This record gives sequence, C-alpha cells and structure tokens, in this order.
Amino acid sequence: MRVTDKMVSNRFLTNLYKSTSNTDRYGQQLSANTKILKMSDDPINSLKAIQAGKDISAKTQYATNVADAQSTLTEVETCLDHMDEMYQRLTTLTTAASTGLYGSNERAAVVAELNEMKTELVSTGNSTYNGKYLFGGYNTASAPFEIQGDGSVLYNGVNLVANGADVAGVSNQELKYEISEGTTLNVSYNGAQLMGTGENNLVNVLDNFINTLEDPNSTTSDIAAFQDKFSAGLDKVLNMVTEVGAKQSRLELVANRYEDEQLNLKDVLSDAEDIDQAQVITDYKQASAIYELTLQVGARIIQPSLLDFLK
Amino acid sequence: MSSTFYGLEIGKSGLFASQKTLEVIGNNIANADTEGYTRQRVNLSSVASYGGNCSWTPADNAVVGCGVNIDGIQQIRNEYYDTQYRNQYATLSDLSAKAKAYGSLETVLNESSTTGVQTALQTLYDDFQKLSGAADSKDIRTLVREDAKNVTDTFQYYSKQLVSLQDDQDKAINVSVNEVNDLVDEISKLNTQIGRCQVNNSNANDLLDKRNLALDKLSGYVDISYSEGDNRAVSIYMGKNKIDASKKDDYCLLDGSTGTAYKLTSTQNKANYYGTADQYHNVTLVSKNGNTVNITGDSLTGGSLKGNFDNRDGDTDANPGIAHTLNQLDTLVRGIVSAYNEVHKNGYGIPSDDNGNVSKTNMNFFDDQNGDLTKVNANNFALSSDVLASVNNIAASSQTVDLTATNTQKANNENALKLVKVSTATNLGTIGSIDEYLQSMISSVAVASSHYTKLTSNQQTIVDNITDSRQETSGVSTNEETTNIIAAEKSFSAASHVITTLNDMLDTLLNMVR
Repeated sequence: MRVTDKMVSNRFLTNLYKSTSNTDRYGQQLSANTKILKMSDDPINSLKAIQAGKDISAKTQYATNVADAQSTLTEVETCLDHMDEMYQRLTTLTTAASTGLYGSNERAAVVAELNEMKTELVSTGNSTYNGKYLFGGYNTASAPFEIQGDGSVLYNGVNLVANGADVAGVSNQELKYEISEGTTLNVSYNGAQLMGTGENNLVNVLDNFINTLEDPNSTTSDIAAFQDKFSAGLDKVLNMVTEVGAKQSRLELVANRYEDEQLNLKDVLSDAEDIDQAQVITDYKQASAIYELTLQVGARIIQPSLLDFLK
Repeated sequence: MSSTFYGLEIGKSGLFASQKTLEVIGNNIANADTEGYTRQRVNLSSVASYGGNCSWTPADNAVVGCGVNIDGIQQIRNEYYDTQYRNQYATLSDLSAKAKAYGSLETVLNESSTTGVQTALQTLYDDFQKLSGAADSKDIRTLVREDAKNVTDTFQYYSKQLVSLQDDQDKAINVSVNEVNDLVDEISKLNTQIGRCQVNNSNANDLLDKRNLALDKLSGYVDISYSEGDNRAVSIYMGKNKIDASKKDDYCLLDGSTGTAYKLTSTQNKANYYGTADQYHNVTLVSKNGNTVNITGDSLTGGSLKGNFDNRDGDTDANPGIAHTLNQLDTLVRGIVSAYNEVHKNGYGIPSDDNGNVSKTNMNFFDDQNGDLTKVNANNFALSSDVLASVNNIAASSQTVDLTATNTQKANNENALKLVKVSTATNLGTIGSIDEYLQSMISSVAVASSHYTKLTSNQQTIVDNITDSRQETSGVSTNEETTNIIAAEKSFSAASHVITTLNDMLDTLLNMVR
C-alpha cells in the first residue's frame, strides 16, 4: 500500500486536533467546575440539573413561608395565652361575686376591673406581628377592633353582636400561607372567630356581666349564670390553643422535611453537574501527556525524507 | 546490418525519455503540496523495429528495437474514489452546517441550573409566592413586576437572537448560490479548454485537475451527479432528482454537450419569520426545459445549501430548524400569557394615586395584543399597560379593595394564591404545563445538537478515509519521486554513454580512411 507524504501529515493533524480538543475540554471543565459546558454535552444530565435548580428555588421559598407561618403562629399563641389568663381571672371574679358577700362597693370594684379587662381584650385583639394586625382577617393594615363612644366594639366596622349579612362577610376571611404545593395553612384567627359572634360574643358577655353587676337588683344566681358562659369561652380559647399547637407541630415536620429535601436536591444537582475533580485532573494529565507524545512522534515521522540520506 | 546512425537514434530516444521522465518527476515534486494535484507518470513503450521512429524495415532476424517511445503523460487517478468523495462530502457539508447552527442555538438558549428562561420563570413563581404572603406590600409587588419584566425581556432577547441566527443562514444561502454559479461557470470554461486539448490530442492533465477540484468544491454546496460526454465535457445535475431520468433535466446545472450553464437565482422576496416582507431569499433555477424550479431544502439531499435551508426554514418536528424553535418559543409565550391573564382578570387591584384610585378588575397581567392571542409572540411579549402603570394593579385580591371601608380587603391574597398555582398547573391549553413545555423545547435542542455533532464527527471520519484512499492513489510521495530521480538520472547517464561510445566508434571508423 502506498503511503504518501500528505497522508502522513493529514493523519498526524487529525490526531493532533483530537488530542488538543480533549486537553482543552478537560481544562475547561476544571476551570468552570462543571462537566456540562454546553447542554449537548449531556442532554439528560443538563435537564436534571435545570429541574433540580428549579426545585431547590421553589422549596427554599416554601421553607421561607413555613418559617413565616411558624413565627406568626407563635405570636398568635401568645395572644391566646393572654386571653386564657383573662378568662381565668373572669372565672375567679364571677365565683367571688356570686357568693352573695359582695356589696355594691365590691361590685363597683369588680366593674372597674372588668372595664379595664374590656380595654385589654380589645387591645389583644389588635395585636400586631411584623407590622401587621393578626386578627383582622384581610385587614392587616389598620386596627380591626374599635371601642365606640357607646361602649360597643366594632370589628372592621361591623358590630359582631348583631346577626346579619355583615357578620357573615367578615367571619370567613382567613390568612392563608402556602406551605407546600397546593397546600395552604390558615395561620391566624379573624376577629369573629376570636371573640365569637352574636349573643356569645365575649364583649357582649362582658357588657352583660357589667350591667348585671351594676344592677343593684341582680341576684347571685344571675351572676352565677355567667360562670357557664365564661367556662364555655375558656374552653373555646383552649381549643384554639390546641389547634395552634397542632399546627406548630405539623409545621415543624414540614420544615424538617424541606431541610432534608433541599439536601437531597443539592445532591442531585451536584451529581448532574459537578465534576469529580480527582478524575478530571487525572484525565487532563493523561490527555496532556498524549498531546505531547503526539507532537514528538509526529515531528519524528514528518521530517525525514530520502533526500536527507542521499549523497 | 543496421544503418550508420541507427544506434544514435536509439540513444537519442533514450535521452528524450529520461529527460521527459525527469521533467515529470520535477513537476510532481513541485506540486507535491498543490491542492487537487494528481501525480503524473510518463508512459514509455519500446518501439518495434518496424514503424515508430524508424522509417524502413531491415529484412533480417537480427533486428533490434528502435528505442523508447514516449506514449504520453498519464494521471494516476481513481474516478470511483472521486464519486464516493463527492457524495460523502455533500453529506458532511449538510451535517456540519446543521451542527454549527444547533451549536449556536444552544449557546443562545444557554440553559443551566442558574441561568436562562427556567431560572427567570422560577424567580417569578417564587415572587408570586411572596405576594401571596403579603398581598398589600408595595415592595413585593414591585419585585413581582420587575421579575416579570425580566421574564418578558429574556423571551424577547431569545426571539431576537434566533431571528438573527436565521438571518445568518439566509446570508449563507445567498453567498452559496453565488459560489455555485461561479463554480459552474469555471467548470464550463474548463470543459471548453479540455475539449480543445482533446481535439489537438494534447495533454490536459492540469486542466483536469482544476476541474476535479471545482467539482469537489461544488459538491460541498449541493449534491451533484455528473458524467463525461463527448470531448470529456462534464454535465452536472443536482438535487434529489439528479438521477431520475424523467425529472433530472429540470435540475441540470451544466449541459456538457451544448456548453450551456443554468444559473441559480437568489431573489430577496421572502418574508422573514415575523412576517416582514422581502427579508429572505428564495432560490430558483430556470431549467433546461424552460421551467422555473424552486430550490428548497426538500429539493436537495446534501450539501451545505441544504443544511442552510433546513436550518432557516425547518419548522416541524420531522424537519426541525431554527423556525421550529421559534414556533415553540411563541407557543410557550402564548400559553403563559393566556394562563396568567385568565387568573389575573378575576382579581382586583388596590386603588392608589397612580391608578386613578380605582380597584380595577378584568385586567391582563401580560399584554395580549388587544385580545388576539394569535398575534402574541416572543418578540412582543410584554407586561400589560395596567401593570406597567402601577404595581397596585397586580390583582392579588379576590374582592374589590375599598380603602375607605373598614374591611378594606387590602391583604386579600386569594387571587395571588391562584396565580401561584399557574406555575404548577398541568392542564394549560396547548402547552400542558409551562415548565414541562419549556424543558422539552430545551432538551430537543440539546439532543439535536449532540446528535448532529456526533454524526458530523462520524461523517468526517468517513470523508477522511476516502481522502486517504485518494491520496494513496494520486498523492505524491517525495521519497518515491526521489528514488525515481535516481533511476532517471542513471538512465540518462547511461543513454549519454551509449551516444558517446557510438560517437567514438564512428570517429574510429572515419579516421580509418584518412
């Protein structure tokens, strides 16, 4: 088989290009620290990497939502605990007042304390967290509870004692956070849920209690009747506290899950994209050695010809 | 008995032969590196004692041949390899044009875990999440608007880059048409010159080399089939109908027998992808039959012109090109616009100074070209005028926001939650799910690019093998030629020795008679 000069030089160049491009590719992988320089290098892994990057971002956002929800619920729990204390105090006062040993002076003292408590109640209802009102439903910008001149309390402009369409309008607003795909969590209670509506509205009961105490003709049994109402109210608050507690546990579980998931996703991302440095460095050294060898051998083959040896 | 100068004639023919051999060797060595050069060889034959150089026949059996005759100078070339080379080279040029275009396409799309459209979209999804947690926060609304603008800008950028890639392919088409015409002209001229050499019975080796080189180059632009006719004139046919006897005359580039060249014409009368008229070129050929034939990617089976056509115009799954990716980009944009607008229209904005203090509803989030979704594309993808005018027009609330009422609904995030759900919805009209459609578009580009790169590399190996075979037959080996020089030189010395000796003999003879 004839072998001509051009064949030798063509083959040498082809092999040289191959080893140069190998060396170059490994070099690029090392400096960019990724094995996917272009999508076509590895379409499947590059798609995995894109999906993983997207999922990490989404989960980070969910994790932030969960953390916000947890802080909000902690604040709500504090407020509920405060209400719990108030109910305890009310029960104590009712018990004391219903013994019949209270005269008008004692009653007046109790009424004064009750008035303070009413203010405190409204103030609790207006608690804020992070600059937002917690118990105002969709109204997070301004204080939801207002004591009017006549002593009645308006919630977002609606008197919760009067039954009507207005009450329905404000009693189903819930602040929801999305804690995972498609799952929302209600992180607070609105004023109607907190205070109750209609006859059993806490403010209403307080007002009635005050009126009963102020009425010199009220009997101890009238006063004692309030005992049940306050117990019922206390139960309600305790229920809400339990609910909040349950939500907190759930959020803990979800938060832990997100932590694990993020680690997993980062693994997937690294697996798809990152290079094994030791491997690539070895490959690079090898490719670079082959390149040098090609040059050396090529130089030996291409140069000499018969003319060098003729005399 | 031979004549007096018989020996001298023999010697002289030897000298001529050696001299010619040396000249041919010199030509070979000088052209060792010339592109397309075929090595030449002197064909020598011995002359019989009758005919040839001698004009009379001696009538005895001690006849000697009359020396050496130079029959001619022959090219050592294998035409089978030529045909193979041209076919494979046409395929290589087609694949390599596609590989380059997809490589550029990939660079434009540049999707990775931290860059590209998917990342921009994910940031927007995350922002809608944030909005659902703080529907009345102006900061977050501004963030949503800015990141949405980022998404629309990214799509617009991609669309412009893709159109610019199409423009490049169109320029390549125009240039290739000119090249093809020039090459056909050159081949036609060479046909004439070679024909004259044939008539004169003279040596046309160098002209043949030039013509073969031109044919090689031509096969890089379009796939051709060619044949030699009278006087070694070559006729050329191109395209997929080049060997179909009933159709090939419509695709004739050069008719060897009449010497007529049929030119390709490239006219700038085709609209570009977005409908601007007279941007791109249509290529036509006024054929041997007088018909005007349209040349498109379908008419060809190889050559870089086919690659360029397919890249520029290919808009189906079966024949994907840049137009196909633009199609998919536009479909995706329409899907995004319609999905978000549908949800956004049901929500209410927050009244503020910059939106006339009205809690507007029925607003688009993205601009929908006055309700004509078919006019929406990646090039005009933008936010709606309402959202651009005021961030408070982002409809996060499911009910009218009235800042004067005690129940303002300002933090109502019901609609914002629905907007969040759009990102994970899987039942959106034509596209199914936004992310899935986007990812399938990107991966089809990546897969095609990797596919064409591999094919090109394989085809390059095939072409290299054929080049090797050609070189093996026709290439000049300096070692071989050097060896031949030694032989020719020695034979020249020997022949001149013969003449010198014969000269001495004649001298002796003449001196005898003094």
